[in-house]
Amino acid sequence: MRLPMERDAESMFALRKVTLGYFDGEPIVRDVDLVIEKGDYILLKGPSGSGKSTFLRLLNGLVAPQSGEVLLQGQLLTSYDPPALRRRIVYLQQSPVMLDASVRDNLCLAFRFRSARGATAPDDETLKEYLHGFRLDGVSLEGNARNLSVGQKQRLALIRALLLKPEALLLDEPTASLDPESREVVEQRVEALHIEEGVVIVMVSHTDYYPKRAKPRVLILENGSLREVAT
Amino acid sequence: MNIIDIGYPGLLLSLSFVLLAGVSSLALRLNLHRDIFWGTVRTVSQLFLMGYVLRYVFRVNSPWLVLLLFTIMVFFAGRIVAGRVRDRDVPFHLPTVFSMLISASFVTIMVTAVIVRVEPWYQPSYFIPLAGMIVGNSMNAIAIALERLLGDLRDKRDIIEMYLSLGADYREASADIVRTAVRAGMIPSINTMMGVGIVSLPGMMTGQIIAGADPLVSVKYQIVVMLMLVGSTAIGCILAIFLVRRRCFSADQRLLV
Repeated sequence: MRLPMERDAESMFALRKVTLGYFDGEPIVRDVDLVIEKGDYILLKGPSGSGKSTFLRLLNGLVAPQSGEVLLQGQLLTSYDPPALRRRIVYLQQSPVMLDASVRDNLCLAFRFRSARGATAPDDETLKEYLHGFRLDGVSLEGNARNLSVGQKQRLALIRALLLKPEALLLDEPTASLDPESREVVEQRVEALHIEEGVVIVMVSHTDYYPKRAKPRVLILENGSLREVAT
Repeated sequence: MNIIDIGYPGLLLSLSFVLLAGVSSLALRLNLHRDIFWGTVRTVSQLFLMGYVLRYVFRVNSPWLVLLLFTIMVFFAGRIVAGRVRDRDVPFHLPTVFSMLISASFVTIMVTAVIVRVEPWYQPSYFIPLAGMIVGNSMNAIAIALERLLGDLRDKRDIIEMYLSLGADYREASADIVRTAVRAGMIPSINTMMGVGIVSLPGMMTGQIIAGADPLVSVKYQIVVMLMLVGSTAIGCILAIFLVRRRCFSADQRLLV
């Protein structure tokens, strides 16, 4: 495993002696050091209940470490404005959450926030291009997003994240409950995003999934420790 | 006013009502007889205590004593709210007491000093009953609103985290939940306005009529009371919910409940 050195500022994330856990249980990880580089595609694996999702949420500040430091591009994560940080490091939940509103409103949700001041919401043409790219041509922008299938909602959630042009995507088992078609689209698009646009990917997966073109680093979270395995 | 005093035999006889409730609880195994017993003991003792305190306060007629009694009432109301709201992760006692102090003092002083024009504004026979109604009402409203706020923040964690993950700040992420909580707190006092005079003759009006007041005068008082309760409930709920909501998120905008 690469240890954090003076290269922290050039790396995407650096964890220094991080202990993470719940108040009343064993730590998920103890004294972990880790560097995630700008060009990395990380597959985070481990048994159910090992704390992979919590670990993922550490990287965009949705949870805080009990001790140690998390750095983003050499600066403490806590020194960033949280909303601005989370637009750069976007976390995608395992179960897609859609508001009881139109597909358009759901996709453009992040452009309503104060942190989006100055940014223009994408027009319908752009949204339709995205829908096409995710094989959602049959989905109407006016339709209620809650009426779609889980697979369709997950693809919308990914589009919603991509519209923010993030530097890193934190994906929590994004294909766990998807039909084969949706799974393929999501996996392909995530891989393309990484290869073509250099987006850092950290993906929790407890299946045997392995990207076809990208060369991921595989981290195993187990029994309170994090280890990197050769691929 | 020539009000008929209730003799102690009559007061004792009124215990037969709770006796009836207690026997029903035992017969139907409702397991409420202990609560009924202690509720009766507390009602009798607390009210008699308040009676003697009020007699003293009325006699002394000092604004400081009135405000002290008012503060004690608010403090205990805050404790009752704390007991009723199940969630213990977020410290909400101080914000609750603060909200009730602000809303109840503002509305009570408005009513006594500006609307009824009592001279002086702190005259205990006006100030304390009015403040008592406001505090009691706010206490119920804030308890309902807080219960809803904390419950929804916990149950809708995935929605809040979706908002936060897309760059919303904590206010944007919880705006709908805050709205629902404040509504839940305010609706009972609004509903009471709908049925008053038709479904029920409220306590203050009833009391004044029994005490020999002109029904129309007591109606005017009751109108002021109903309106002030809605106002104080709104101010109290909004203040309490906004203050407690802030405590549900860390400085770096993580959900803490």
